[in-house]
Amino acid sequence: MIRKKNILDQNKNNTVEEDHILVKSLEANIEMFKNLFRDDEMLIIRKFQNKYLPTAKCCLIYLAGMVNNDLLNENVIQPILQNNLSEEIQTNHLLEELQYKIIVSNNVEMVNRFDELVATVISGDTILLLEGNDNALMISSKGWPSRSIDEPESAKVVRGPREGFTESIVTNLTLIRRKINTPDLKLKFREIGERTHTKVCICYLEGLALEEILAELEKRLDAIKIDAILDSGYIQELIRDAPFSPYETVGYSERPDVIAGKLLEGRIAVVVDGSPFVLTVPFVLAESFQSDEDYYNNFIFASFNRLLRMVGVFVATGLPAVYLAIVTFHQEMLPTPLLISISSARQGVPFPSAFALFFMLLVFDIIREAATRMPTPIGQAVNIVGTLVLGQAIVEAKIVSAPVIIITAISGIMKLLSPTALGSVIVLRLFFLLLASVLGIYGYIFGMILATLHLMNVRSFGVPFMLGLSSVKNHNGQDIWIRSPWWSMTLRPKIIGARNLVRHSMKKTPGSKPK
Amino acid sequence: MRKEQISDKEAMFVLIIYYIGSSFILGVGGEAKNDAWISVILGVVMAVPVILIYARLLSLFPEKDLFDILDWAFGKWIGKLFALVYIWYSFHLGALVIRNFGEFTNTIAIPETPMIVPMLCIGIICTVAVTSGIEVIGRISAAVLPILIIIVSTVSLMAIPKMYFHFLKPILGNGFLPIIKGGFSVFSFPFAESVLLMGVFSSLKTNKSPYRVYLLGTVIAGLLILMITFRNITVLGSTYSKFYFPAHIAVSMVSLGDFLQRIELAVAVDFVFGVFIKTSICLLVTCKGIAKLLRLNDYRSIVIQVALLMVYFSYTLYDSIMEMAGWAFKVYAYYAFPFQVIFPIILFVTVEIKVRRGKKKLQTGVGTDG
Amino acid sequence: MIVLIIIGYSLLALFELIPFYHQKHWREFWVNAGFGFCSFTIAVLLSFDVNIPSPSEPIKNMVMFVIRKLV
Repeated sequence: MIRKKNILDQNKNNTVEEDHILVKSLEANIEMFKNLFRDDEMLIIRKFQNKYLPTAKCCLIYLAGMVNNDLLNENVIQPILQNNLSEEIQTNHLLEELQYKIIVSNNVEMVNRFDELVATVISGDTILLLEGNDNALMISSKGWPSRSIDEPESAKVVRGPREGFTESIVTNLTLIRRKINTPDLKLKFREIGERTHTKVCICYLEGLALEEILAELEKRLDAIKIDAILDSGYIQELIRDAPFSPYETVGYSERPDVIAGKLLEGRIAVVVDGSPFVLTVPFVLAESFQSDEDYYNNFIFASFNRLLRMVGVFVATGLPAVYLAIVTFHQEMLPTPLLISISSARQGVPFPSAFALFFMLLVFDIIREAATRMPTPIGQAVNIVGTLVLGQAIVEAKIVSAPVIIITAISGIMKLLSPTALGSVIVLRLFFLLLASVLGIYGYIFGMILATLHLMNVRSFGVPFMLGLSSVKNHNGQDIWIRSPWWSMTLRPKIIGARNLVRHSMKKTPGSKPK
Repeated sequence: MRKEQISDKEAMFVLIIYYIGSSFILGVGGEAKNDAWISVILGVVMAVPVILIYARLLSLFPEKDLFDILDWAFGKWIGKLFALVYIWYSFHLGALVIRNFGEFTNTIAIPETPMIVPMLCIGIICTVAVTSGIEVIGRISAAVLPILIIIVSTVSLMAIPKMYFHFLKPILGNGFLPIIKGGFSVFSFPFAESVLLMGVFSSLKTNKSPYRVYLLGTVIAGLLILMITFRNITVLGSTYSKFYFPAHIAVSMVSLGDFLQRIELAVAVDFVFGVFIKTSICLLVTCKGIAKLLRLNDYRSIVIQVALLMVYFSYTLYDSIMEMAGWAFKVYAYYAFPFQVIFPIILFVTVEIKVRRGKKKLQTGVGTDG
Repeated sequence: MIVLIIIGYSLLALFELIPFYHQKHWREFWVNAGFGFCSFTIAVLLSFDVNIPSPSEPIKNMVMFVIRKLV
């Protein structure tokens, strides 16, 4: 215990005391900054003075690379250098004069607390110190290189907007704001991470999002005490329900249109600086099967696709287990010709089916993992190894029977139909397979019951995880198994959008009927 | 802690699965041979008055379960004695159901695997379900029952070509006595077993709902069991009662074209799920009873151990499947009669007298605030 | 077999009993320990193929006796 405490004590930051303020001497102030940022050669201290008023010694402090240089040169340094200051003022109001009349910038504030100034410099703004003044000006000058808005790699669509989030929180919020043009869109900022001071923004529509969920989310965000947040994945794991579950209980997306859609259903988004993935809560299981393209395509086609995805998850998790159960325990289930062809394929294969299935599923995942990280040219080599060596040669060498390869391939493709559920599918599949290898088809049924029980227990921010999945009648179920046409979805999903249920008031089917 | 509550629909679905769980596969009313379907109707009719008693008791005491009512009606010591009796009954019934399942897997489904393994698995699943609470059991029943009914109906429809309706004749060929005997056995297994649900239906919403749930549930389950019995008789004839698992045999004769053969597994799905729900209810009632008896804060703290004991107990119950069948069809109906009829009637009479005599005491003592 | 049982029950004790001990829920602790001891004993006996008497026979005899008396 004592040792642990010592370690915790060591983990203190090199912070600035809160009541530390500036002094009148410019040199002393600069010295304080230099001292704090020692060994950091990116800190730029630029001293200059007005040509008409040599006593007006100024100093700009900023971090190289974090600021927009043109903006500083043209709008801060040039005006101060060249304006005729002496005519205008007495020296003791010089700073106000600079703030209100000289500096061309959209956001200039006067501050004297040292810690605030340090935070300003770190976040990419610039501060202006003036000789003989114990105040300083914070000048907004953020500007660093960032990725342009392009189509996200993780969620490509054929039909639908092609923009995706970037790593900049401001850009991301702009993208959301451009979709939802209403003052009801609320954005609450906070900083998380004792060392990284990452900006995190809670984003919701007032009047739609439930207060309880919002309060719960804020409580959980406030409870986070971690040194660094490098991606929204950190937050996702730190605020989620059911921490040991293989299912995700916090949703994420890289696409502004998806996030806007979720906000409009009453969900709350969490935007994290530095991550192109925006989180949404509460998250229910059905969302794993939804794709934004569903809403832009013909609803019949979209419903078909959605059912395919559900079947995909079902088959991907269940098929290996059911196959194993049937060939080892219930051969009588199969029609005779099929049984003969399967058993002839298994002739001469030394390993039991259970082992072969485990092995091949593992191999499939190894290939998948290898191909994801590889650059495309090498990725093709991985594919060739996968198909030729492992697919064909392994069967010809009679190490694994052909049906096992087929089962693995089907299951492997099916699980890719809904990429967000991938992790849970892989875990569940192995679990079911394990049970089926002991108890046959009953093992699979047991596994299904256990999985269902688990799913029914899980709640995401108080909302049942299985919301809507067990009913098709009411408006909760309109967007679950199928995607109902927009003109019929007059109400938002209950519980999540309970505060303002009515989505729109169209009552009729569109188009005119022939008379 | 939040109060657990289930809707009428969920409660009804739990009740239906509870009824049809093991009776689907074991078959009911074997004594009446090819008149078993009449016995089913008779059994439902006989069950209705008893079920009305259960519903009346529950609606008199909203938010109170069987053990609270016993405590209130008989006082501290006799109440505890009765509670002990019901704990034993639910424990024993749960063990019997687990054993049925164990025998089924051991003789028909997966003979290679030792019997204790599937039984332990059922025990584990029930532990998870019971720890999750009655709400989750209700929700999972509501989600699964429609699927079960679809499976059973489809299989029965597919069996139509194999049905021989002359198996039903001669109606009343053996006289009335076997039918009455069969009716009695249908009454005690499964219908009057619903006495145990008094232990969990304290979570119902209104005090009208016990009647609705009990009556509708019994009628629907009765119709389903009638359908299954009818199918079994017409497919198998009067040899129906000779099999340990008639439904399994009947369905194994069904085929659709060349491809869909041997669809017994479809029935097995029903069976597994039914066993799961029924055992969960028994386990839940046992644990609740023990928790009330020993004044524990929460019944969840003993679920695992009670479930393990139940599995071991069921493992030691019989030596063979013959013994099980003999016990289930000959002894069980008489053994269960006191728990299902006599004690509830005593309880009912005591409660009615007490309620008539002093309504005040009911309100202050038990708090009928529902 | 016996090794599996011992491992299983130690895990159970670790995840069930110890929390009660820490939370000072003594009643739960003792009841759980009691039940746990019973089930552990039975499990060990079963693993050694000891024949544990079943209640089915006595119940059967009792029921038959009562019926014979009544009829």
